[in-house]
Amino acid sequence: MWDLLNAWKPYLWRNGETYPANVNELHQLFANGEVDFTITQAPAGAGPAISAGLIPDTSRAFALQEYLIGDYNYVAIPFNASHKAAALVLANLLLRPDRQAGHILPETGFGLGYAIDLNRVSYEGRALLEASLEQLGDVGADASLLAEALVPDMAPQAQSIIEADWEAKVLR
Amino acid sequence: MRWERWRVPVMLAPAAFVLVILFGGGLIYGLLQSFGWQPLIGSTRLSLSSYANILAGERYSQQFWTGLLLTIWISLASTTVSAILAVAVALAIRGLPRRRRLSAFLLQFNLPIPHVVAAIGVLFVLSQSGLLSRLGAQMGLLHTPAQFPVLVRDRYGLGIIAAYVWKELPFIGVIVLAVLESLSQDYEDSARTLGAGAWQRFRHVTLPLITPALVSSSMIVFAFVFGAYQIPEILGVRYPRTLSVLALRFFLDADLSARAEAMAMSMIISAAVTIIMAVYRWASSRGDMRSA
Repeated sequence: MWDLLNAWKPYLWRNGETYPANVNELHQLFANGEVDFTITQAPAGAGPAISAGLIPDTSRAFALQEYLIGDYNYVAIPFNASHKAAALVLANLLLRPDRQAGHILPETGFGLGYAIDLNRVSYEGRALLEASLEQLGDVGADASLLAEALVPDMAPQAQSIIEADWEAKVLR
Repeated sequence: MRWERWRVPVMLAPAAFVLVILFGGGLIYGLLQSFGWQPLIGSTRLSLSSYANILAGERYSQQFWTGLLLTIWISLASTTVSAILAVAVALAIRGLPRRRRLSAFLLQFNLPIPHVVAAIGVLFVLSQSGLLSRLGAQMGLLHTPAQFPVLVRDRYGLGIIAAYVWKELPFIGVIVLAVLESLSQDYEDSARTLGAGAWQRFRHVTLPLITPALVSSSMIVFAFVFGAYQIPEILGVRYPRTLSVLALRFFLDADLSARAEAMAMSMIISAAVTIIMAVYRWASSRGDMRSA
């Protein structure tokens, strides 16, 4: 696997000598024409980055058909939190269909996808979510297509190991 | 009880309180964490394993030693370049008539500017899509950003050194200029009457007179650059990274046990800076005795 990654180096920005520090820097490199792609985790595709003025109007998004890495925004409760019950109430509140519907839209939320199973919410809740999705228009990718290709983030234990090996075997 | 006896301790108390509680407390807590003290994740056994991991372990030692080399290189290079240019600038400004001291102001104006701003400024000007690169493209010298030389985010820390020189040159310059202005012109004039050339006057008269100020301000710059974090974070590459950037990277690792290594590295940085300053104090006190 490391050989494959090393073989890609000539095609990377600055031959893979270093990497952009964050997604905003990548957007900037993309806007300057220094790289050919940037990435977004928004189901709304290139829209949010275009309207924020980060990338050119002519940018278009595409989704990978398999191994599309994605995850949900989540809240965590520290094990030493002093008000666990209140935190649980907040977590439940965030999962309510009307909140999730608001979250889909860039105006009222992050403009990211919803994190609940449509088959398990009430009819009214489902209607709210679908109304929100419709309001998003056709810049957004089809949620069911995305879901099909989606694979979850790797486990955090693996992440540390891969980061260290990546640095030792690819970056150096 | 007489007030006189308590006056000095009472007046020192606020400063001592801040130093002992904020600095000393942080240092001790950091030291404990570097020994592996992290009750939150159930680690209360103290050991030196984090230091061993950094100095010789498989996972960290390579990063540490290259990071140390890079840190020393950046500190030495930025201090040397800043000091040489600062002396040149201070000598040039001294020669100007009093009324035209705009350049003295130019020397001072960047002192209050934060290092982060200096780093971002260097990024804007020297990066492959920065101002200089765009200027080159306007003049038809360049066609793509990649044709501009890599001056920031380079493996040798050139961008980092440039930002430090921009920031520290005026600092050393202001101090050297202050000393130069307090010196009487007589020394150089008498050297001139004895037939000394410009270089000889500088080498044997002016330089020895400004050396104490030059060396002490350079030491402050060196110690600061050695431990500072903002500029290499913004202008550095992913590998190699300076010690301060590495320490923060370990501190923020998803693996909480890496915090011991992060703290051990911070302790090593602190110890190195302390040793450098101690050696300097020792050397300068010896120098004073010899000249006395």
